[in-house]
Amino acid sequence: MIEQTPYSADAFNDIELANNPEQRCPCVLVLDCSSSMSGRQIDSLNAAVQRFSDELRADDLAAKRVEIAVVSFGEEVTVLSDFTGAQSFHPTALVADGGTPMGQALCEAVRLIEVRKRKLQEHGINYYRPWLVMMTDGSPTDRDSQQWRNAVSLISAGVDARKFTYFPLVTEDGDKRTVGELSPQTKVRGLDSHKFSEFFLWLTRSLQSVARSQIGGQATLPAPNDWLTIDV
Amino acid sequence: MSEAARPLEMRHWLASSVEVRGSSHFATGEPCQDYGIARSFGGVQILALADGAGSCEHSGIGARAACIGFVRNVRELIGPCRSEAAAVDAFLEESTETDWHFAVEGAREWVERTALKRGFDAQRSMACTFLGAVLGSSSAIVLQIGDGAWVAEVGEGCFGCVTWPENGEFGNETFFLTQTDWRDHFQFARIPVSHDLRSLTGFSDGVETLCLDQAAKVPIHGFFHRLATVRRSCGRREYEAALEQLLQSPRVTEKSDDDCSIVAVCREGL
Repeated sequence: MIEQTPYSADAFNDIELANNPEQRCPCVLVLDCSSSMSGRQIDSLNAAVQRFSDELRADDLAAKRVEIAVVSFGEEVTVLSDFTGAQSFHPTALVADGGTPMGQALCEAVRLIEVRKRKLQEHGINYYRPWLVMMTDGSPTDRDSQQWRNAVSLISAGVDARKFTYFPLVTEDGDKRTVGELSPQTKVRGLDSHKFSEFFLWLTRSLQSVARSQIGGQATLPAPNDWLTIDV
Repeated sequence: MSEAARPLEMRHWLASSVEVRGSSHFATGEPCQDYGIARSFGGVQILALADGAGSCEHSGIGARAACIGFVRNVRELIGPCRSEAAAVDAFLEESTETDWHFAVEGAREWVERTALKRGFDAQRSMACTFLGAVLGSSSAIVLQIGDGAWVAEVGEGCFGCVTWPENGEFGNETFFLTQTDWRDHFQFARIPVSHDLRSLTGFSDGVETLCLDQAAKVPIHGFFHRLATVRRSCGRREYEAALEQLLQSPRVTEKSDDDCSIVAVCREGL
């Protein structure tokens, strides 16, 4: 008896498959580098951001999909890194100095997100909802300025319209009440300054989870228990 | 009459339907949440494909119910044509978009009915996108809610998107058959007899990354041409088994880890 050779995927050997770029998950870190962060805190933050970058790069999918931008605020507001794929993101060392122009930094972060989204749209690249992570140990020194009012308006409207996922974190001595003005509907998380590393580990796991989530699906994020100290 | 001279409308449609569980669903133990149907009822072909929302627990059941309900109402719509191809073509040419809302309502009602029977909430736990098509001998109606798309070959080698995936601003957001404002997201197109229709392929979002050029917003010619060529060269079961193998192969899973499903018809003997 002759066994019939079944059709197999070989029949499609010469099928052409599209070569679309990976969908992207933009994440902007807005980090307090005011003088009060100097010493152990800034060292610890630098080490945590370095590890964050290393771990994302080690994950093939996250390295291709996650894009990181860093805005620091201290003596001045600086875009240390515009959106860069995690595979080629190498963090610049943060230096603590000056005040806390938080409002101006947040306006800059929202601007970076909008510019990046337009760029991705122009190139037909799908993207997940961007993340905006803001970490501070103090109180905004630009609270009486137009920049702060602009930041309140941009963050509040952005959260309402679900334009980005906003994640405000405040260490022990930080002014949680004022930070809370930026988006009354968002919980400000307390962060133990000894646990920057745990927070960034959680952020890595969360972004890995988002990067793996289905189009049309939802990502399940790991519990933040390791670094979370106080709910405000 | 020689085979080459046989007019298009006299060539039968070759149907197929394939669903494959995505590699990410294997990893999490989730079932395939896509469901497809490609059936012939006399002179009419009915295609349906639904993709259950990844975030909904019973969306795979919702997807199946949607396809069954659609087929039932389409059969009721075209019942007076008595499955005669010419009469079906005439109906497809003359019917209005509103007539086809009835077919979609059939899909929605079957999801609701299934939800009620099982004690589920249709909107929250059975949400799915939906693609449907009905063909006579030469013309077709296609409709869609959400992502995925329909690609038609009209004229030899001319592949074009009849619909396009509808997403929200973010890649992981789309629109569902089960939502109350589904009419706001209803895509509808008619392919008339005069268009020389040679093949029609519907696919779920897991396949989009393989077969659409997202930046240029055009289908990948070499993808759809190969599908039709292989389908014409073998029987339905062989073709579906081969396509399943392709969709589970590393060539595909390195590009898409979502469920992949494809429903299609193509003319025989071209």
